Amino acid sequence: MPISDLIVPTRKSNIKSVFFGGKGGVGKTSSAASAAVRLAERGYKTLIVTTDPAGNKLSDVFEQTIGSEVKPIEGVTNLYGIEIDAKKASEEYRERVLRPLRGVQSEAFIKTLEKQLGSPCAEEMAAFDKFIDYVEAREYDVIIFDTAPTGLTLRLLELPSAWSNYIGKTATVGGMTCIGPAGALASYKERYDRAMRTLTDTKTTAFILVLTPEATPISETERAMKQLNVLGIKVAGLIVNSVIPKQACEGVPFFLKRYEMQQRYLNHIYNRFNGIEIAEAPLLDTEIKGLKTLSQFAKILYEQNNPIARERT
Amino acid sequence: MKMDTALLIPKRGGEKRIFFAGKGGVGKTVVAAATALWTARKGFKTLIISTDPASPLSAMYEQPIGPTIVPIKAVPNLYGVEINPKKTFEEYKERILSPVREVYGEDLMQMFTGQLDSPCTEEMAVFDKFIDYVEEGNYDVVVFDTAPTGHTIRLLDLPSQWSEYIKNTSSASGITTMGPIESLADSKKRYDKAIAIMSDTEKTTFAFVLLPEALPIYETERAVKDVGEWGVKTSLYVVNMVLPKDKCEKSSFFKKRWEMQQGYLAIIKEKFGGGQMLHLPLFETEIKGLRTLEKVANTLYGG
Repeated sequence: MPISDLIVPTRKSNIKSVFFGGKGGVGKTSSAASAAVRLAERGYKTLIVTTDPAGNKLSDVFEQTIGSEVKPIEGVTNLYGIEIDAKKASEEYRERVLRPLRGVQSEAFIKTLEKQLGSPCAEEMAAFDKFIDYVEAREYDVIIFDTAPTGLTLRLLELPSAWSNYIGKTATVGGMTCIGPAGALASYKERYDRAMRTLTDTKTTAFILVLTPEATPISETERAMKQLNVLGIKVAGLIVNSVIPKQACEGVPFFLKRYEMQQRYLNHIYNRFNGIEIAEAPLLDTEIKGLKTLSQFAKILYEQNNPIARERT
Repeated sequence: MKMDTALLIPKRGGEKRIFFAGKGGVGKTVVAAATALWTARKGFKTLIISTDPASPLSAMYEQPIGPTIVPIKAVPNLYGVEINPKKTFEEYKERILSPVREVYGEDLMQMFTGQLDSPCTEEMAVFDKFIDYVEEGNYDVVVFDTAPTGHTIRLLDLPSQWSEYIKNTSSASGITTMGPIESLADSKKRYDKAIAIMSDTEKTTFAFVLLPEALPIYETERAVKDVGEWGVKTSLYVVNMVLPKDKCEKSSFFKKRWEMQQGYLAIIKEKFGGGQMLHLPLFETEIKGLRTLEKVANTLYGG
């Protein structure tokens, strides 16, 4: 099944969530944003969500302000976007946990909790909590997640199991955890377990890793895949981005040499990840920014007329 | 702009720490490895530290480098070490827990272990290890191939938050001996000292590596601001993978990309004008091994 089919709901797959992972700078956002544009153009009501704490990536790539509330993306019907603001989410989350305790517990107790809930630990937790809302949102046909760089993503994904273990362990102890009283968290654990079930369901969720044909991204992809497997998550496909088109190098030995280097790494990728869907995305002569370029990039990457993919098969 | 070598060289009798920050894939390790090679060649006893689990330093210097400091055989004055984040995390956990274990009951121990098992402690542990080297003192120059982000720095006072929490709740739990907990409070002093060193531009050079493209520029801008909030000033920017003009003349495809890069280089100059700016051209091969590293060092800093 080509990558293009992995992200599109079919009677067989009923894909609802698509995650783009990979290390920073490989083109995750371009791949995710162009997938979102393509799906919307094909008539699917699509939401694109970024959980990157680095900030306004989506606004940058769509060249319009998006922000932390769901907003229709101008210029494409059916397309909506949101940038999860970890700081804001953390404040909301803290308030939600603390509200039932105010007036019931001592001032000193609330103060300690408040401090602990202000830790970055809780911030990531809150971002994930917010993100679960979208995993479970029913009003969209497909939700695209432009996830954070590898390490952070994995940690974010590990959170539900880590926290629920922790909640299970400490619920009987002091009744206190770093994110709130264990009682209030019991319902959260259930929520995370549900999210984990969604994440591991290959019929409704597609996990795609993006990389470039170079040594470090390849070994990072291997590692990321292993860590996802531990959590029960299977990677459905790989996008190899920034592949230099041969005709752009003709007559220039300098670029031909880089082209050949990439081709060697590409062969390595096909051997190493045998059995996983792989799509190649060419380096373009422009940046992938703005709706027009996103739509063009999507046509090359997600449609059958991908010239490089054809050449190889 | 002419290279200000004071960014790399310690004051007489002093020590220089050089941190390379930047998002993944921009070439931090290459630039760090070349910088360490350059200072070692200039006669400064240099240590390079990497936290990348993929062991990139071993490939750069063509010899195995592990979790204990080893001399780089081919380069006098140069030493290297690779920190394994997972192992460091385990050691850190044990160090924090052992003083507590002696004094407190099973219940509280379980709670502490639970808190430390939280995935966001790993970053803290790595920075904690960094601090050992920040305070090192045996080298003239210490090069870090990665840098703490504003996010990591924010994590640092967590142990002192715990000590605060325990103090607040100790009367309820019937705990009287505060000794071990004071050691948690002490860790704050250690962090404060490290941040003070990092904010001292005479002792520390904080550098960002970036690419001449829109998203990396925005991200660098945010990250610079983020560490700036902790008093850490960025004084060096290395723009990597700059297309060489002469190579692009014969290819309309690359000529267009060259023009695009030139536009971004102008934006970079405008946005980050306060620091030293260096350009590293795209090389025709991968940068691996001492010979190419030597070329990178010379291109960046001169012979």
